[in-house]
Formats: sequence, C-alpha cells, structure tokens
Amino acid sequence: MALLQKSKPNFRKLLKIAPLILGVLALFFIYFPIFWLILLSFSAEPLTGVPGGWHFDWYIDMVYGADRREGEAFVGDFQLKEPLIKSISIATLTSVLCIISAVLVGRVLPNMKHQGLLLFGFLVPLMVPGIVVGMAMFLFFRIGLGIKMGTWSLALAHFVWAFPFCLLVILVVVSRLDQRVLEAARDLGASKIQTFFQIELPIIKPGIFAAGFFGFLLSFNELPFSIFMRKGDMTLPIYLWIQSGAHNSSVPLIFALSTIITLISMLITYLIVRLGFKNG
Amino acid sequence: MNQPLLTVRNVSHQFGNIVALDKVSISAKKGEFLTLLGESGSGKTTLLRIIAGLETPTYVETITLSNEDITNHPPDKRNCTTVFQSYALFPHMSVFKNIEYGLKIRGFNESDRRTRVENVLELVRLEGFGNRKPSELSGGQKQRVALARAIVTEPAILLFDEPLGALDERLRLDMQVELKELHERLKVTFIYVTHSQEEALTMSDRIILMRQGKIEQEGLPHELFDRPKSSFTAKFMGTENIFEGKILSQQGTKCIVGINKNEINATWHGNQTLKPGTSVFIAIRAERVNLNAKENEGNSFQGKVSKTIYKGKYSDHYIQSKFGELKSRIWDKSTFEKNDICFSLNEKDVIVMKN
Repeated sequence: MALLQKSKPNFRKLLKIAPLILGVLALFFIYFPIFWLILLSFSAEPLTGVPGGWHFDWYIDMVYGADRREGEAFVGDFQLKEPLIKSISIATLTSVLCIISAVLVGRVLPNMKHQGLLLFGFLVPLMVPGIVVGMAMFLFFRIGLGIKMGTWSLALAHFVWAFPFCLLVILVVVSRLDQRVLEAARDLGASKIQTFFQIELPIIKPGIFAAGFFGFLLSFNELPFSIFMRKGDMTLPIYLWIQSGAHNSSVPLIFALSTIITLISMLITYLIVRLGFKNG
Repeated sequence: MNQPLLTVRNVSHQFGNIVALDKVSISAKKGEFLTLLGESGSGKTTLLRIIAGLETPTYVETITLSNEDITNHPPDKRNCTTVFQSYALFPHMSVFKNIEYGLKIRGFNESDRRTRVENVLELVRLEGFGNRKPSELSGGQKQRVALARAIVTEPAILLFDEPLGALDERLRLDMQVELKELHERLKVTFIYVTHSQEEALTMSDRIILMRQGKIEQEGLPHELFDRPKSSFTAKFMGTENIFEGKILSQQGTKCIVGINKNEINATWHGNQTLKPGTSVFIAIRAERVNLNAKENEGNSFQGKVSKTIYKGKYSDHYIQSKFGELKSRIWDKSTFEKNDICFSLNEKDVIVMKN
C-alpha cells in the first residue's frame, strides 16, 4: 500500500482500471466469436467469414430442407432428427446417472478419511484430454472387456466426463448443509430415511437441479469421448463435426444449427444459475 | 417417585486416541434441573449426545429412561429431545412447520398439531411468528423456536447443549431466567450443558462438574460454591484464593492449617480424618475476606494492599500477606485508602480441600 501511496496518481488510476479492462477483454474474446457466428448464420456467404446479405434462408433450409420438403428436417444429406433425438436421450440418461451418483458420493465424501485424495481421484477425468480418455475407455471396454459400443457405451462415456462437475456442484451444497440439522430431525423422531427425504433432499435440491442441468448440457455438447465410444451412433456434436468437415453446401446450415444450440445452452445455463443460486 | 428417571451406567467414550469419557455414571431425577458443567474437553457435551443417542459410546453398560433400557436405541426411538447451541432449525421450513415436525412424525392429526404448536408458541412468547422463516429471525428468536420445537413433543427429558452460548450477555441473562421459569412451569427434567459456573448456579437443582472425562464433584449449587472438595472445583467456581498448607490439627469440622508458619482456623467438610502433617489446600472466596478487622480477632493477619482494580459493581484489592497474595472483593462504595491493613477470615469461610 505504501508503494501505491507514494506513486503518481495516474499510475494508481491505471491500477484500478486494469482489472476492469482485462475483464472486458476476456468477455470480448469469449463472446465475440459466438456473436460472429450468430451474425454469419444470418449472412449470405457465411463461409467467407464476412457477414452481410441478411436472410433467414439457412434457418428455413434447416427445418424444411433445401427442396422445401415439409416436416422433416433435412437438406441433401443433412439429417438432423436422429442425432438430435440421440443426443437428447443420452444427455437425459447421463443427467440422471450423474445426479444419483453425485448425491450418493457427495453426501459421504466430506465425512471420509483421505477425502482430499478421493476427491482428486474423482476429478482426474477433467485433467486428462478428452481424446486420451476416450481412446483409453475404448481400449478398455471394447478391446479389453469386449463390450459392444452403442448408446449405453456413449452414456457411460458422457457420465465419466460429466460426473466430476456434478460432484463438485453437489459437494458445494452438501458442505453448506449443517449436520446438526439432520441430527435435529433424528432427535425429533425421524428415521434415517425420513430425514433424508424430508430434510436433506429439500435442502440440497438447488444443487441437484444444477447438477442435473450440468450433466445434461455437458453430455449434449460432448465430442472427444463420443468419437471413440460410438459404433455408428450419431450424436449431434458428432454429426456437426462430420458435416463441418464435408465440402458441400450443407455446411452453412451448421452455422444456423450452432447458433440455435448455443442460444439454447446459454438459456439453460442462465436458468440453472437463477434456480441454483436463488437463495444466495 | 424416588426412582431416577434416567440412569447412565459406566459410559466410556474415545475419539480416536482421545478419551472423552472415562467410566462415568450419572442419574437424573424426574423434574430436576441437572447441569453438566465443565470446560471444553471435559466430556459434558459428549455425555449429553450419548444420552440423546446422537453419539454411540465406545463402551456403556446401560442407559435406562423411564425404566426402559434404551442403550441400543437410535435417537429417533428415545423419548428425549435436544436444544442445540446452533439452533439447527430446518431452513426450508417455516417456524410453524419446524415446531410441528416432531408431532407430524408421531402421527398427530392436523388440528391437534395446530393447537399444540400455537400453545407452545405462546409459551415461548412467539405468537404470530408461525409463518416466518428461520432466516428472518434474530438469534434469540431462533433459540426460542428451537426450544418450542423440542418441548412440543412432550419428551421425558429435555437436553440442552449450551443453548445460550451464541447469545449476547444481556439476552443470555434474560434467557436464563426464562428457562428457569419454563422449567418450573413444565416440570420436565432438564439436563443442561454449560461451561459457565454462573449459569449453572442460577438455574440448577443439581450440578455435576466434569473434568477431562470424569466427574470432579457432584452436588447442590451451594455445595460446589461454598464447599468445593478440590482446588479444581474451587477455581472453576470462581474462588480466587487457594493456598497450600499442612494440617496441624483436625477434629470434626474444625481444623488448624499451617501455611508459612502462620496458623489458620479452617473448616473441613469431608468424612475422613486428616492426620497432622497432611498436605492440604485451603480456599477462601474473595468476597469473604474481611478488611476491617481488629487485631487479635480470630484468624486476623497483617497485610499490605498492593493493587486495587475498580470494576464498577465491586472493587478487587490485592493484598500481600504472609501466605501469599490474597484477593479481596468489596461490594460497597467505600474506597480503600490504607496500605497496611489487618484482615480477617471467618473460619467457616476457609475451606479445607485434599487436593
């Protein structure tokens, strides 16, 4: 502080504004490409990277098909419905698996010996690149255990990916829970089960919602694990990835689709934050 | 009924390598206000939690409540409720629902629950607070909700885990009186844990003073206050002046103790005979040092006032005497001018203790 007091007023002002500037820059770098993407999805020549010539054609094509075929979302070989449904169902499955496991683990973890080490163990998938884990899982399950790839293997892979996040969220709410409150319930005559469902669960509910949404979103957008743990299955991210590598005119539709997915994801995240942190 | 309501026989408990309780046995009579007194680590809270069933002891012979063996019963099957220091109110429920919870578990119908909850809200002076949430209450109000919640199920014993610890002094003193009145009104057995000897003296019918997992002394408040059996008890109960000496003679309650070549007439409340030469301690409360003594009165000695500390309600005078530094507490307004004084001690106020 002495340094600050002795330095010139201009330098001090700069020091105060610097974090603000950095924050704005960071937000800019995060959101500008997304904003650009949205602009391009309404543009005539999106592949040039230059927005302009505004129209909704790509969105219309996405839903009705370039041949204006009604009802089925398809342009040429751009078939959306199956990957979309697959992604949603796997995401839902992952979300449920994550909630159940995260609650079971999260409740007991703070009371265990070596909890730091155990927590670290659970968080390891976050630290290893997705491609590496995906490949390792493939080798282990398909080659090592002989398990066939399919929807369930994808759900498992997504679970491994999403679980650490969900666990962290649950741990936050569980650690805020005063154990004495649960003791009070037992003391007043509630059995262990009554205490769990009537007292514990309602208190950690925001965390469960947040964990569920996280699990869903993370699974929905997941790519690297899915590449390895699928047979011929198409999740939406895989479909987009394959399509974006293709050199045909359906590519611009990806912009439209990505915009929609991005906006929906942002909306869901916003809802999580509102619901999950409503109580401050 | 002279049968104790609660008995705990030979309970021992360890946390890892730390001994929290060492073969402790207690009993509580129906309707009594029993206080477990002690500093942190004395085992008082552990004992309370074991009675509640919230802690399973490493070893216990039996615990009986209302003539029923509850040794292996979980907390939800014991007819006692706890008032926690941190209140432990259910944050997602209103005050009404918090209090109602125990009744709901027990299967009371809605109108019964409503009547009882409203009665108990009146008892703790929180009428109209039913719809508030715990987060909207002050500390004192939360404490009363916790109390109401514990009382409404009409348990055989109410357990209190330092309930006033988190309140400020004024509120604490008021609540002490309220709790005492509540106890008289409900006529339920209270087992109360505290580290404050003042609280214990104010409210209890009987006090169990604990130290490092064992019972140091048990008895009526005035017994611990006026007749401590050990210097630990004496110090804990606020006796300032404790000196070591040797028995010169003892007959019944009358004793003569020698300290540094001085003879003091003292009182011995124990049953054993003390042989001359036995090492003992004597305890004298600061309030009982008489600073206006005439020379040659019994138990009168010379001393020099070295320091005076003004404390508003009273003043503490430190006197250097032949047996050490003595603290004298004077409650009247007279300031003390003299330096060299003659002080005396009533022999009934000089208590002999074995250790």
